[in-house]
Amino acid sequence: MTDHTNPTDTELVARARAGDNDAFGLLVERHEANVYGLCIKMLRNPEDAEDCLQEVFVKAYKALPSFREEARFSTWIYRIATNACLMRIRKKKLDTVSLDQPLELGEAEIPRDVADWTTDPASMVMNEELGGVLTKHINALPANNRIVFVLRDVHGLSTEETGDILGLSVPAVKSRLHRARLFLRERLAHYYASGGAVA
Amino acid sequence: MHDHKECKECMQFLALLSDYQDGELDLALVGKFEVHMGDCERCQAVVKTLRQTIVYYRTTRCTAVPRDVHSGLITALRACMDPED
Ligand SMILES: [Zn+2]
Repeated sequence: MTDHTNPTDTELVARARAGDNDAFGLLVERHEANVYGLCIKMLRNPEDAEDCLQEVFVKAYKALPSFREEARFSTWIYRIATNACLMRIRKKKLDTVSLDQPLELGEAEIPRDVADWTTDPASMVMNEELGGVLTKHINALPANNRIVFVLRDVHGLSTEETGDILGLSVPAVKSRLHRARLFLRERLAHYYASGGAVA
Repeated sequence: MHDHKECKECMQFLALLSDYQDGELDLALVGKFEVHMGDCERCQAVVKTLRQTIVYYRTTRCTAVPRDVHSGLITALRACMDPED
């Protein structure tokens, strides 16, 4: 059944493919926050993210004729976005040396800080300082692990969809996610252990 | 309290922690690890702090695009929709 007040992505894609630019505009409105959020987390700065956001939707618009009807638009747009982000990261590596040295993922394989900070109410408040700490640590993840963590845990996509977007097998997604999670858990534990969250 | 590195059961558990977190572990293994966690404060703490780490990151998801970024995007799209404009 078609609900004209709330068309599905599939209906909007069909209309956009037939030349209805307003339908494409609605798809943009639905998906721009996901794409922009992904770009910010991957590229680490708002200017690059904005640039990449435009690139992604312009590419999608131009590629509409090649969109397979049976695919999900959200998966497709995520795929265009991840490719665009990874391409930019690869290019940037040539001219920028990361100031915050990438940390060895291996360091988190065996958890060291194992105090349970979740029982302390003061540590359970999300504030600007904690937000900054979360950003700093996710930025320290290698791009290959970061992208999996962002899709799975920040955006809440399934393992299968993440694999589909990245062209990775389910075990490959799981192993990258596992390492990213342990790394971030360890970093956050270290932050609390060294007196973080004390107002 | 025992040392993670020395404990085979802890190490086995940690390797499967992510699957456990996602509810994708075999029920038999889940049972085994829950028995282990009953005696192992370290593994308990790792599970809880991992879960909270994910909860925190989930809250950092972007839910709206800044207004000027949205306008910039619309302008870029218009330019490619009507190239002669
Ligand atoms: Zn244990």
